[in-house]
Amino acid sequence: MAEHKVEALLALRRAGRPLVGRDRIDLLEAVALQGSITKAAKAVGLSYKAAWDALNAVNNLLPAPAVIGQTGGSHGGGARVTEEGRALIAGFRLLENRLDRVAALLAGEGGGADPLSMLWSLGMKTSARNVFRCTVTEIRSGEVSAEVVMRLAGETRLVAVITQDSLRELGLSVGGEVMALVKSSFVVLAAGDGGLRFSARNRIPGTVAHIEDGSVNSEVTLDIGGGKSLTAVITRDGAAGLELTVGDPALALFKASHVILAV
Amino acid sequence: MKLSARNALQGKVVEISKGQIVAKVKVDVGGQTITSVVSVEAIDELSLKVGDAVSAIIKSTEVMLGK
Repeated sequence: MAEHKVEALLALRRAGRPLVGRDRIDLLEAVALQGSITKAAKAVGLSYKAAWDALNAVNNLLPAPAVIGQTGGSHGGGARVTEEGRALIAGFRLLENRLDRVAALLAGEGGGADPLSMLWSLGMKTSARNVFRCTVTEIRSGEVSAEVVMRLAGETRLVAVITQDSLRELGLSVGGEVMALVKSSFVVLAAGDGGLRFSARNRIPGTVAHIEDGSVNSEVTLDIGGGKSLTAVITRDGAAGLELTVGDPALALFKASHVILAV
Repeated sequence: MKLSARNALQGKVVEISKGQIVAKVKVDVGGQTITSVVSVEAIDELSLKVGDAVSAIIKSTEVMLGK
């Protein structure tokens, strides 16, 4: 572990009761492992009394006890961690892990952290290469479909067509923030002059920042301004046909129906 | 303007049915019909009408094969 790693500390508390933090969860885990409060206390370097008090605090957190001890005189008898207790350990460890990721973002290790993407890092990661944090600027509803217009960066707009049900479930409203996901294989690139017009609602101009050729496909990343980039996976033939080189202007096209929204 | 999409089939619009948000456009391509669903806004922007010559552009990754 790096010496200067930023750590986030998690503590749980039922109103007015003592905090349950990492030390107490470590103790609970030791009890689960050792099957005895005496041995667990020794393992984490606590007196039997301190361990007993700590486990009481843990028990007070949950509606059902996390640990059941058999009173066994001054040295204590065996102790058992309940299902609830095990769930508490697992949940606590998971939250700690996610908090660490947010702490790393806050400390600048993830670069350009914003609150919504930080919250996202608490939850899922996706395979979609293009994930944009947007602000909803307009919502139009039909019977089945809804069109959501978003501001991506500066003047750049994104449009998504989703179902009415999704719109309701996501609770989207104008002015709210939303994450827009676009799989790189959904993106068509256009380059060169000419007045071709497209039905694709998303036409994002950019400059080629990177091209990676595979045997069948090429991955092309466009710099679309505002510090954002957009990746397209097109066939190598398609890329060759466009005669793109780094620094060239190009247009990324994708249908509104290919944009997934998430909150 | 050149496109990365490998498939651009030339055809003629034979039918447009508009909903509130999206519209269905049928394109005759050499006797076969390709159906496209695009937004109503896109139809308006392109001033698309029956009889217009259009390209049906399909990314190769979007083509499902059946046998």
